[in-house]
Amino acid sequence: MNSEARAIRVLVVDDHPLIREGIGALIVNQKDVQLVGVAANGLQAVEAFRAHQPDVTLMDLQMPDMNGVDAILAIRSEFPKARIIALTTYTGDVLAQRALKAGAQAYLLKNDERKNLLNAIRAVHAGHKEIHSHVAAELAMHAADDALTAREVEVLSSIAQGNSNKVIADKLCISDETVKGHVSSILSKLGANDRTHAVTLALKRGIIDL
Amino acid sequence: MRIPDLNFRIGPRLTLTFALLIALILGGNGLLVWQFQIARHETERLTGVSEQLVAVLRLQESLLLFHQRLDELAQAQDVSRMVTEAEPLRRILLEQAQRTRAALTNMPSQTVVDPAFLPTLQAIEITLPSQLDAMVALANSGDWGAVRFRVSNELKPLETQTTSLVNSIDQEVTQELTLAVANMEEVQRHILLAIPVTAIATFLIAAFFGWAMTRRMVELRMEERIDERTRIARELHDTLLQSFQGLMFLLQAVRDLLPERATEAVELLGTAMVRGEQAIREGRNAVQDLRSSADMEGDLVQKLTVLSEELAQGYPAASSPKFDLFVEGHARGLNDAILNEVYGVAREALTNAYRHAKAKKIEAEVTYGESLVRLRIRDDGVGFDPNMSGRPGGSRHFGMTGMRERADTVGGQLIIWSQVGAGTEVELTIPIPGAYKLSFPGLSPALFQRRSRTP
Repeated sequence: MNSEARAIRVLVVDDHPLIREGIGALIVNQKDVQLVGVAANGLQAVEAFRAHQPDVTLMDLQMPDMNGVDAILAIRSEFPKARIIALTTYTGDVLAQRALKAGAQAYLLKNDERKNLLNAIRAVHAGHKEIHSHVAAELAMHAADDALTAREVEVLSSIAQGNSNKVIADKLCISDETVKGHVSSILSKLGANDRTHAVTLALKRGIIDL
Repeated sequence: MRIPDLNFRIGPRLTLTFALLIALILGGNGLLVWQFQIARHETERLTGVSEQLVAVLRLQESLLLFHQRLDELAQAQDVSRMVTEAEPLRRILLEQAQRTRAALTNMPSQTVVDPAFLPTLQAIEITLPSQLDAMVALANSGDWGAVRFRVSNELKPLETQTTSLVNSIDQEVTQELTLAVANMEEVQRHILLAIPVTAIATFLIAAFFGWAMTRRMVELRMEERIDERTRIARELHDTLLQSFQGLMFLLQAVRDLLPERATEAVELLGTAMVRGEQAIREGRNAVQDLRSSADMEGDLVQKLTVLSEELAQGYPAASSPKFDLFVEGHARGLNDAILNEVYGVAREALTNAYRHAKAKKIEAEVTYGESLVRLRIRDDGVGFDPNMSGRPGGSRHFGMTGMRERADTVGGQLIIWSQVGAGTEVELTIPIPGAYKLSFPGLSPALFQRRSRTP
């Protein structure tokens, strides 16, 4: 395949119109990169990918109607060679891990990639991987940590919504005591002092969404 | 936004503590009442034997008087005095006997009358009158020797019997007294123990109860705060941050175009500036939203006044609509969640009135009723066709959807009345339960104020 001959075809997925427009403006000026489509959520992203079969997809992670990680999974299951860059504002190691496991080749932050973004697109197209240094450090730092179980994540996001143990117990159809057990396990795994701290840490690390 | 539970749930543990508290108070008081009952019983028994003793002593005294008098009469050997005095003597003695009997039957119910008492009394009542008759007969016949003999011999057994009765009852009194003193001491000990133990336990449990209640309330506040912070973070991320990042990409694109493709750069810069202005507007709305929920201090009326002033600033002084605010009923603090939504509706309606209605006069009316809270915002502006706003696409205009959502969130009813050329009136009515703020007079309000201004 001759990559010099034709431009890198790019799909931009982001729920915020101004981001799509900004990235679009960046790409439009380049000779070797071409914008072939945009999508505002995960579902649209999967359809757009089918329609355009882009070389590289820039994927936001926090979106309504199928989030970025699920969209990456869906696209990669259909097109295993799809090259996807997760482009987000979240530095959380857990979210990064999920995106990378889903099949993203790169994990970049919107704040820091204005100048680099085009180079990153070229690099990923050439088969390289890129992880933002800050995120890479976070990933390394928590590499040996015990991961939260699915149930613990469920309990934690319920806490983040402001629910008491009793309400959580009712919602998940388990006993108060079980919820308490989950909570203390969550606190120890995250190294949190209390519930509020646990929620803050979990949001920061991308364990739960807002 | 999620409404916090308006019904305060204290949970099973606190309910149990509360029940224990009540049980302890009732139990402690019950114990005291029981001890006092025992004390009363003791006193009654003691009174019973004392009264018996008094009765028998009186009887003994009148018996002795009777004996003494007869002795004197027998010594004087005066038949006529003997005959005249016999009757009063008999009467006095029988009366005394009757009084004694009456005293015995009127004893407190628990009193056990000495078993020898009634037979003695009976013996006195039956024997003495016949003895007296016999002695009077002997005196008439002039046999004073026989009279004296009878006085000294026949009255003796009765006197002995009575004396032994006095002794027996006296002994009984002493016994009862010792017993009563012992019992009363025990009662005293029990009371002295029961009162402080009950008081201390009640105090401890009540203190725990108060502490747990306070903790639970703080916990609820905490949960609300987390909720609030989450919302603020999302709001910031959704609007300001994303817009800025988008703008930065646009500006980077402008930077990439310069200096070679200056014309294109200028064009793109123009777009970026328009987008920037849009972002500022979005940001302002978001901040206004946040402020409405974060700035919970101050009541609705005050907030409406401030808001109308802010909105009026968008006008040249001369053309600013006249704003009037009416309050009906006694102004009361609204529950935070409710205040937030009522204020949201008021803001939307007032913004519409100021920005779109071209009104000359705008009125806001807040009614604090016993069973409802009502907000009315009306203007004399251009109005709109209600049928248009009901159509798909049209309903979003003027923030109608948002107002309806807010009204639904707090279980209120929203009525929007408008006609082209005839102004607009928005009325929000909220039924009471939970609308007003609970007040906890003993607790510092500072503990419960929101401190969620920083994300």
